[in-house]
Amino acid sequence: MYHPHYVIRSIEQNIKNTGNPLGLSRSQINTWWEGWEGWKKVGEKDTMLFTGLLYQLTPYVDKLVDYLYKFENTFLEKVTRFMPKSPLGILLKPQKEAEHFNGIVRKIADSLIKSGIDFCYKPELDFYSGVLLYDMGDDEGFTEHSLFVAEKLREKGIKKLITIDPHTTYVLRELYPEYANAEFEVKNYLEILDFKSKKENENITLTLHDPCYYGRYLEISDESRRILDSLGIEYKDIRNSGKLTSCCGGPIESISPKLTKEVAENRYDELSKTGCEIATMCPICLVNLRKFGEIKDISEIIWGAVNA
Amino acid sequence: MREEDIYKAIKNRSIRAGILRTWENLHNAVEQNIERYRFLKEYAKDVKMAKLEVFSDYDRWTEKAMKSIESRNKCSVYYAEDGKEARKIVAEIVGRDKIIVKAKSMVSEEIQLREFLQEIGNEVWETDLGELIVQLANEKPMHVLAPAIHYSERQAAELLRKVGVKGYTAAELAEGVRKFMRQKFLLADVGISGCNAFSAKTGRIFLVENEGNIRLSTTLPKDYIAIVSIDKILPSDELCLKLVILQAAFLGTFPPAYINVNEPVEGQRMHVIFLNNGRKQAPEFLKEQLTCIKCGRCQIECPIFQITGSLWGNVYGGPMGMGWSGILGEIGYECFLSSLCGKCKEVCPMEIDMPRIIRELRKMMVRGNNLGEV
Amino acid sequence: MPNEVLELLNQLIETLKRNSVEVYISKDAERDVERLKSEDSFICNALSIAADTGIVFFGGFESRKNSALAEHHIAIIRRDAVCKNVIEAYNLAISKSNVIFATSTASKTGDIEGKLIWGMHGPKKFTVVLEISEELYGGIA
Ligand code: SF4
Repeated sequence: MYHPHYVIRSIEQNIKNTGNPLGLSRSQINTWWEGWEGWKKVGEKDTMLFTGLLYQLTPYVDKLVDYLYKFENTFLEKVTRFMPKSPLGILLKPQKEAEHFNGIVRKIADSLIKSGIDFCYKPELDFYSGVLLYDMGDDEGFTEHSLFVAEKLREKGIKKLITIDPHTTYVLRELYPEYANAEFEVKNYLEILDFKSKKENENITLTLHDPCYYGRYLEISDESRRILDSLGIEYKDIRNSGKLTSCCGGPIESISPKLTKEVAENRYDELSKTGCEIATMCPICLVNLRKFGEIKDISEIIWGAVNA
Repeated sequence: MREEDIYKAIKNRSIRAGILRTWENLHNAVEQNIERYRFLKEYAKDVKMAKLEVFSDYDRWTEKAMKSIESRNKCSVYYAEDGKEARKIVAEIVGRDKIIVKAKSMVSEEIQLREFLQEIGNEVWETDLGELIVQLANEKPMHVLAPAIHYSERQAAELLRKVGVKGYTAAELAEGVRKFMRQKFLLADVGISGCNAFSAKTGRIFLVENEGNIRLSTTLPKDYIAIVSIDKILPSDELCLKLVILQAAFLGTFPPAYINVNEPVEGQRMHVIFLNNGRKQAPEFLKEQLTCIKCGRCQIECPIFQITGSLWGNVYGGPMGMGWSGILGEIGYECFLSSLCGKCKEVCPMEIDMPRIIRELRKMMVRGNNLGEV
Repeated sequence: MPNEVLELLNQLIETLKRNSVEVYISKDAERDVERLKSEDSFICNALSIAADTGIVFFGGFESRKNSALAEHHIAIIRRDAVCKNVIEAYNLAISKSNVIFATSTASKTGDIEGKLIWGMHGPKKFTVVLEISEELYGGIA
């Protein structure tokens, strides 16, 4: 187990220095929009796509967790405490994965455009939400960070946010009003995608792994199913879905990656029993579950169906 | 919690096998109960409200509860501030060289009563089958209501052989234990139980079970000791009844084979020990955890608990265990092992917001710079 | 009125069967119990029973002891002891006796690998003899 003290301290420091928990520079992480075709189609609006950087950060986190996994419960565990934070980026560079996850963000943005939704994107205003600090019980650190983010967005006249992952959605929608006194109108992309189509059977059947925050905290599990219905994609729900969905183990990967892996394996076993293709809708669930077999992000499936 | 316990749990595949099997067996049963017995939801609301009311004035309700039986014949009433005081009281009642039959009781785990009574020279038997297996293995219960969830038939057989019980199948082992324990029940000097609910109005103790060991432990011996932690106090018999019904329904086995309603009677000396052990001093954010009826559903449904069992936690493991550890003042950094996924809250009959409680515990530790060193 | 009573009785019988309880419908319980009893059985009159859950209340400390020790527990239930729910049944029982206890099935355990075993510490068998009048007898499903 990595001691919470060190985990919190390093996350807090990194966020202070760079705005994200890994301490990587923003220009290194947030690159999905470079060379993006859709760029021309978005302009100046008060609705902004706010990725919260979670998809972009996840490949790096995953790489780091790989190391932590190997060191956990060995003498090297303690050594990690003194690991310098800044060169981490070079050490960890997950080129291929970063491209994959950038691609997911791009597909989500493209689907929003296809759905006729007006929005803008400003890389310099796209910040990490601070969710890890909140989860760890570091309210002070979280408050400080959320105030900073909210202020930047307000300064530029942003009123509405479109989020793309469960954690950022929850934090911006439910916590920012309380902690940062910021009342943005927050919509998750799954809530607003609407292709106004009624497609015929796509010939795939999915089993969905609902993220805990969609299933319980935000109660928006129906949204993904509504979109799939409209695209003619079938799905087979298991008992532990929606409100009863089971966790992938991701949130504790910084404390005990070993335990995370066991939890994820259990969940994967359960999902794979249906024999259908498995789709998730959160970057953390995605990296954790795909260690055991093939998993797609639902945005990739949606994009595929829309552009078929 | 010791850190190595988590790695021990990860390696011990039989923990997850047992929990997943129980989960598989019971979640349908629980859902069926909720569907069939529509009154359960309402019962839960009534019980939760009553419990919160009692906590809002523990002193008054404890006094009322104690008064309700003090005047009765054949009954002595005690109050213990903590485990140490409770053990001392029990020691004075029991003495030494006695045969003691115990009904499974988490509060006695809390104050390590069995070990203590053995140390001062008594023969003590856990009479619940699962708890007996755990006693013989010298381990802690892996789940509040299904303590031996992680032992296979073969392992159980091996452990039970220590007391001369022979056999290989669950049925043979149960029959062997029945015979073995029947002798103990008949010879026992003292019976000890916990309490699921205590009626402050009438002084009745409600205990729910399936095996019949609680009924025998609390009926046959001439001396009967009941340990009532003060969170078990409810204003009326009716609420107590609702609580025991809820507890059984939310673990799955419903109706329970037995509901015991114990009180002082001719032919038996009864000793009731009220125990605080941190409950009165619990900070505001932990009050909700005190409404817990210890059905263990949050444990079975928790993805982390499904790997670790009660090894994740202290006396009480899993999601509910975090809050209870907070109440008992023994919370450590295990609260950082929760993923805050919220399944516990979703399935809890009392709708206890355990993720909130766990995050509050973290906050407390972060704020107090109380994270300690590894 | 008789219709309501019949409905209640039929609900009770269904509940008892679901709970794996052996049920006898009898016009004369005393007589029929004679045939069921053995040296290992303990017979007692129930104070009340809840039709929705099948929880049966009995009274008396001695009965509690004997019912727990017996191999076979036989309960005689009369029409007027049948209540709609467990709260009603509790209140009726407590109005008839000071020391009460409830049983709804034979003793059981699932502590070893979740395998259901009957007759753990208490009775291995629980039987209900439900006594009803001639006129209702025909209406039992
Ligand atoms: S917290 Fe809720 S689900 Fe868990 S044991 Fe207590 S009452 Fe049951």
